[in-house]
Amino acid sequence: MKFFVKMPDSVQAALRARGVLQDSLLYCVKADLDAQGQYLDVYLAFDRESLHCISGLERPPAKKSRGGVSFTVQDYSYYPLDTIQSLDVVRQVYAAQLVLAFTDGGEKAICRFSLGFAAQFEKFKDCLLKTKNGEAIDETRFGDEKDAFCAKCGRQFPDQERKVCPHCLDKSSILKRLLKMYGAYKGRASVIMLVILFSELLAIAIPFLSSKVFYDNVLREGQPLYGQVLYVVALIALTGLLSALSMMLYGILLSKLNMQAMHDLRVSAFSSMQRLSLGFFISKRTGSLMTRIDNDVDSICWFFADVVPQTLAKSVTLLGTFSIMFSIHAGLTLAVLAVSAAFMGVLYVFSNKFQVKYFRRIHVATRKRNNTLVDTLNGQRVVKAFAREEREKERFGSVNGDMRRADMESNIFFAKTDPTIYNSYQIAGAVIYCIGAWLAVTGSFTLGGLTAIYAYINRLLDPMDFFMQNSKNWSKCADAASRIFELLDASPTVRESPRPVSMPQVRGDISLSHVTFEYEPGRPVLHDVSFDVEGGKMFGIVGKTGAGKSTIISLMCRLYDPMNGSISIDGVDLRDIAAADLRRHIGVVSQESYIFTGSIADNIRYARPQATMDEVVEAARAAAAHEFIMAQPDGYDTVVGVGGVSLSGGERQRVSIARAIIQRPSILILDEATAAMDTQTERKIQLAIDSLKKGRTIISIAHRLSTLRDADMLAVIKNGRLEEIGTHDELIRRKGEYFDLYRLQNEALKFIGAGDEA
Amino acid sequence: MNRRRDFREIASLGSLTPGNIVFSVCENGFLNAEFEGKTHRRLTLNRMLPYSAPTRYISVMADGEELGIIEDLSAFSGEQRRVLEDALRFRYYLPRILCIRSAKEKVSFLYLDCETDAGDKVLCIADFTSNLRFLSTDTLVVSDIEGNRYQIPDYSHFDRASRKRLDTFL
Repeated sequence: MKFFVKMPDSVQAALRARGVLQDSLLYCVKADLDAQGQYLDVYLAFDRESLHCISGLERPPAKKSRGGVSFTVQDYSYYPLDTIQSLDVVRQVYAAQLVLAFTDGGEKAICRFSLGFAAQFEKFKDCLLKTKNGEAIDETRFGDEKDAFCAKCGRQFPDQERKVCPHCLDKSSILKRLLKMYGAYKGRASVIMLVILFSELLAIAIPFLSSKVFYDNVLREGQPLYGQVLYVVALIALTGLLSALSMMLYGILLSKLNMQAMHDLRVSAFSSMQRLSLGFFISKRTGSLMTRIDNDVDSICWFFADVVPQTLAKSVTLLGTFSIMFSIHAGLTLAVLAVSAAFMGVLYVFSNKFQVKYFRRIHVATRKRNNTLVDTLNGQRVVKAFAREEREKERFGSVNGDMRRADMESNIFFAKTDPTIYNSYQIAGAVIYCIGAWLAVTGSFTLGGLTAIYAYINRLLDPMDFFMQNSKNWSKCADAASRIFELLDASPTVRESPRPVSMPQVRGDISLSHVTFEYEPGRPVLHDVSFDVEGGKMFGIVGKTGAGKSTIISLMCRLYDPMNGSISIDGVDLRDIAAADLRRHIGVVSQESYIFTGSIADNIRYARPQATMDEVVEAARAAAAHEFIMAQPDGYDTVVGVGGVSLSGGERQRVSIARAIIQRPSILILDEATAAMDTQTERKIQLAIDSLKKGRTIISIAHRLSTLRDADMLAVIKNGRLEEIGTHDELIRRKGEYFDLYRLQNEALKFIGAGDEA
Repeated sequence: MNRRRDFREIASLGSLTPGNIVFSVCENGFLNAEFEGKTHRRLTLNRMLPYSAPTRYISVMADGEELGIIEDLSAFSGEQRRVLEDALRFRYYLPRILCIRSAKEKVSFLYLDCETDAGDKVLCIADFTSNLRFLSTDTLVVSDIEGNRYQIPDYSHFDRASRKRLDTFL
């Protein structure tokens, strides 16, 4: 039993006790609610004879114990397959329900479950009905379901696009992964480390020379260096100078490496995004994706730049300082060590308990503000049209206020805590100094030793402070890194087959068989749609707004894969066709035509940059775009898009039609491609499309039925289902949905005095 | 025939009252009704304002067509009222979070160990800035990765320790 959920051993044992053998079970699903809506774990599985339902409470294994999940059975029932007529997955608003329909006409509500499981239950239902009827089941289409679980803990991945188990991934693994990335810059990084080590070692030596050596050896009679003031001062100065110089070199080397690492990471984050399926971009807001490329990369590069080399250097400083201090006075050093340990402990608690929270709050507030900003700026036309400037000001003021508050609270918190912590340390240092002074007075300690120890107490602050700042920033960095890794790890939902079928030529026969699709779990947009498009013909898709027409197009272009069923071109499943071939053969003109910043000519040859100017003009003429392009003073060189000339909706559509034509696809899809045009321009384009029809499959979606007057075949989609299919005449004769639409549009045209245009 | 109605008819609410519709429940909990001399089976109720007016403006659908709208549930009383309230509770399955035992963020997912009125559950929430939302001023609605929703109706009166755990993520 490979699909759809893993049945824990304890559940298998419970079933075995009731005479159900694990090996005979075929498919299994799990529901999380009982029929009354209380949380309960219900396993449903069937063998060739019956459907078994076992419900009870599942408890995860105790941490570190070797045992699996425990299961306390509450109820068990079974239904012979031949008494089952059908299974019905009923979707409610926030949950779904499974209802069994029996052959004797009875019904029984079995269980309820989270809406997100609905798709899985649909598949389960399919498998059960097929098994009952003795039909074959194509398991290759469930491929993704198999690796939906974490190999380590067995829990389902929360995000199927990401395949990361939050329970098994921790910060130390993020650190490990970051260090691994650091490995790419090994050579330069090790030079930087050597330089900073050198600088720090010299810096530690200075207090020893200037206090201990100076007071106890140079200024004291009878010592070997007595009176050699100039020599020792020169030595101190030289040490200082060398330390400063190597610090400078460190800065220079670091900026070089830093910029390189940032550049590399941004590029790889961006290319990861480009690799992902459209679904990823729909589910994330542009504002948050921009933050990732921008701020998160900064935070990570700070890790490369500061954390790794400095952690090493500061650790050496800490160790070195303490060893020197020990050599001067062990007892006092132990006291300093105790104070420092307490100090670090306090810092640790503060940075982990409070600072993370403040940073999280600031990050969330920044994101909200940026999203509002993007929202309002993009919607300026509507804001102005309805004179809602004041309201938008208020809205921005409110989110900006949240950010101000978050920033302020965080700053006030640090303003209060930072000095308290540092002053306590200073006070403790002063106490140690007093003890040292008392020891010096009683004669068991030298003046040089005392001043050196005091200097080192103050010097310790710097590395300890660094570690504190780090743990503060480290949480920020771990957060950023986990988001960037999410991007790098996200695997596209639409993947090319491992053995892609190359199709140099296609006839253009498209076939949809039992296609079901949903964007959001539990809200299907297409149900069981099947139809065939004959190659070289024009196929029209008609239906109301939201019926699912554009979704069919997205599936044909393989921007998404259907949840159930399949789509094939010339008999080859879309999922098996090489991505490059598929893109080459299908040209799409969509409802929203996006124009990139650049010249009109470049926009037209976006899909085929090597196209000649002749081809560009030809395509533009065919798309009725040539005239308006030539009306621009800069002609085909006119810069459009952000910062350039803005085109009207109809003009943009014509440019994108030209863009599709120049690609010379075997299958041309027009998704409301002429909706923003006046009837005359549309006519012109239809003439052009007529000339394109030869040897090409054209699929056209339109509201205006007049657009589809030349279609060889028409499909009517209603509420995500195929309502009717046939030629115009057949559909008119049938007097169904198409007839109604046709008559409505005709009436509307008559009403405005346009005659029987449709 | 929907399309033959004139504009006023299409745009009017089509009010359903105890006078023109009688609801009943079958043994599997499906809602049926007698309306305009016909029995409609497996009706669905949709709230037009699920948060701001949960007992008003309820659309009654049969086979994807709207029969009409119940403008105010209080127009119905006794058994009919109870049937409708049960059906709504069933359709808008919305457990109430009673307390939060822990809130942890793991790799951009927020895990809330909760006690709800439907039992104990650990919720997993993705992108918590958009999935933890205040709908009215004091009702917090939580959506988890499995498509479930939960509510905390009086957030400002919610258990103090739980609030402290959740506040960081709001």
